[in-house]
Amino acid sequence: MKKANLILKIMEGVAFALSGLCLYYAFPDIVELLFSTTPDPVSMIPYFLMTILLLTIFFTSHALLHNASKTSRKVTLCLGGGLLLTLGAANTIYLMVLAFQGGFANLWESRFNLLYPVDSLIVSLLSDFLGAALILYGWKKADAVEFVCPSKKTMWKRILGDYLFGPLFLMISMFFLGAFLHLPWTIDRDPKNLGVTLPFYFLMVLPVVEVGLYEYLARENKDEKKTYSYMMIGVTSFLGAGIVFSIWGYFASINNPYALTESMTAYFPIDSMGSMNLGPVLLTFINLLPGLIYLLNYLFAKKKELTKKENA
Amino acid sequence: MTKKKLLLGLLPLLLASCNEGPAALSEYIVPLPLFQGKETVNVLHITDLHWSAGTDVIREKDYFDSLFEGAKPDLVVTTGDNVLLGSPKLIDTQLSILDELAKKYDFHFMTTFGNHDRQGSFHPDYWIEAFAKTERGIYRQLKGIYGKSNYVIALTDGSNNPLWNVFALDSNTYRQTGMSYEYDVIHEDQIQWYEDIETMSNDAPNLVYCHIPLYETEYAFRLAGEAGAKLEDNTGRPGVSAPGKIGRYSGTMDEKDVVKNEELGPSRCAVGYERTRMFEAMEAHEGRGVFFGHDHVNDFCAEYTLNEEGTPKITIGYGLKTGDGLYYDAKMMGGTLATLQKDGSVEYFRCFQGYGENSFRKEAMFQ
Repeated sequence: MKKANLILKIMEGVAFALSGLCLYYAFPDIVELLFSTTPDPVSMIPYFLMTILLLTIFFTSHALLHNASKTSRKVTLCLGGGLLLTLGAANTIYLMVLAFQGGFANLWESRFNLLYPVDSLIVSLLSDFLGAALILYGWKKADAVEFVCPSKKTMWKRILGDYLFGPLFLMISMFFLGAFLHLPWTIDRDPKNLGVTLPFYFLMVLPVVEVGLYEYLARENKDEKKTYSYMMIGVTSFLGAGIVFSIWGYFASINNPYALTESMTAYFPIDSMGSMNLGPVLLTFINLLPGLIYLLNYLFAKKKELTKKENA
Repeated sequence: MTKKKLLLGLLPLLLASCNEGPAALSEYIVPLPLFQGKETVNVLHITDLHWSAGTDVIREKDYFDSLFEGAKPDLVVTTGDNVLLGSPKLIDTQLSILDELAKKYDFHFMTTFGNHDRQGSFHPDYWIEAFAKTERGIYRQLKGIYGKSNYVIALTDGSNNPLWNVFALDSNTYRQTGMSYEYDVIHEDQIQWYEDIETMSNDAPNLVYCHIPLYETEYAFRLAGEAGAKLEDNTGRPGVSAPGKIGRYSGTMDEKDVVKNEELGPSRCAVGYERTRMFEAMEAHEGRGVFFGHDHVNDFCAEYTLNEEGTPKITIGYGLKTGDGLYYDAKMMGGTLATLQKDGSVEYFRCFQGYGENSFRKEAMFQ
């Protein structure tokens, strides 16, 4: 039982990081595809499918770890496993056909990242195996696996939190994690703008660290009081750091209006395409908004609940 | 090659010793003896290639092959937006294709950046590393003045004096203003550098290539309308005044009207946030032509001067957009050719190139 959960957690973490790397390339290319006359979008499809597969692995393993009931677990297994199996098989076949038609210069033509298209092939084959395993093995053994922190939210909170804003927040965080992981190759070698760019580097990675600490340390703690104090310290600390870095970055970029366009275009691709200051705003939102919502919506309510229990 | 390398080493020193300018300025003059044994030199301007992850590079290579075969350039200048959201591999691929064709058709190539060339999964100075891998590519990055792609090719006949200077000037990218970005401009220190180089070169006739258009393009376009220009959609804005005087003109502007700032009013040129004195500097220093890209469906060019009593000597305008990356008009696609003479005169041509066989066509810019 613990082994199954451990495997799911590893899968979740690895898929999160790889999804971030893929989204870093995929997202701006999707935007460009929508607004340009790019003549060859067909050969880009395996890359987008690979991104979808990795996201599916992440969301499926995350959902399996936190299903509220046996029914929802089985639905997750069928849907997730089915999606991985069908998309994985489709992408594998599509890659083979493209390769035979001369659609790739070689296995490492590196059109997106250094390993494309061989990375897409590997992920597709892995997804086929994983999809089949989730459906067959998971369906048989699903009832035996204990529930880890099943969600107790109301339906509306689940829809808004787990199915809408939560995934949006996670995907934006993934993108910036992917951008952060590319720093060794993309960071401006000229340090003249470091005073402006440094706070944004921190803002890129803070949400992921916060989510990681919550998912892997705080969430499973059975001691409610300890969990509450960890969360209170953690959320307020990250919120404080987010506010400090956001203010630092904002005023520094006002003082030097060229710094972001000189040194940060590798991380804010849409900003330059749309001539708008979207990247820093997004970073501020994902660093401040979830923490604020969590603080107001949950932690204060939890404090009341704990106080009531103590007094009872 | 040995002779060229010798000149490369000697000319900057000689030029530096001839005047009182800082020696460091001459470091970014690249001498090319293209006039040696020839009376004319062809400079082909291509722009806004916009290669991205979805680009069919084999198809683009065939496109360039046809264009270079028809235009027969000695020097190819790209005025930016070479890639859009590119990877280092994409940049390497593009430059290696250009290098291969440069060796095939015996030309050199150079670039100045557009507003999109720094977007992508590479560090801001990657282009230096990429150009270093080519044999025929020329790129310098001048330190101490604003921007990256600022340098000059001095065309000589093997002697120490440049017959022509071909400037690459970085029109930079954006300037942040609150929540939005405005297009940047050629900065004052870059203009000063241009003037210093021209003074050092005894005011050699020169061409300037940059990415973002100058305000004077819109002025010339308005004057063309006042002259009763039969532009394709008759949008030369008759009745709207503009300073200066034009001579010959051709082409049109099919971009949408946008109000960038109060000074310019509605314009089809996506100009920078303010007017600079770049054009005045060129008028003071034997400028012959200034060409840019940026607006893919504009190809308007005109002989223009800011002095209403003067003679329009500088041709200002858009190069033809090259290839079909991002957005394009198939009727205005290809490259713009400047045929330079030893005596300082120049003729301009438009080299239309579509995709498919036998789609090259060369026309005089002003007929």
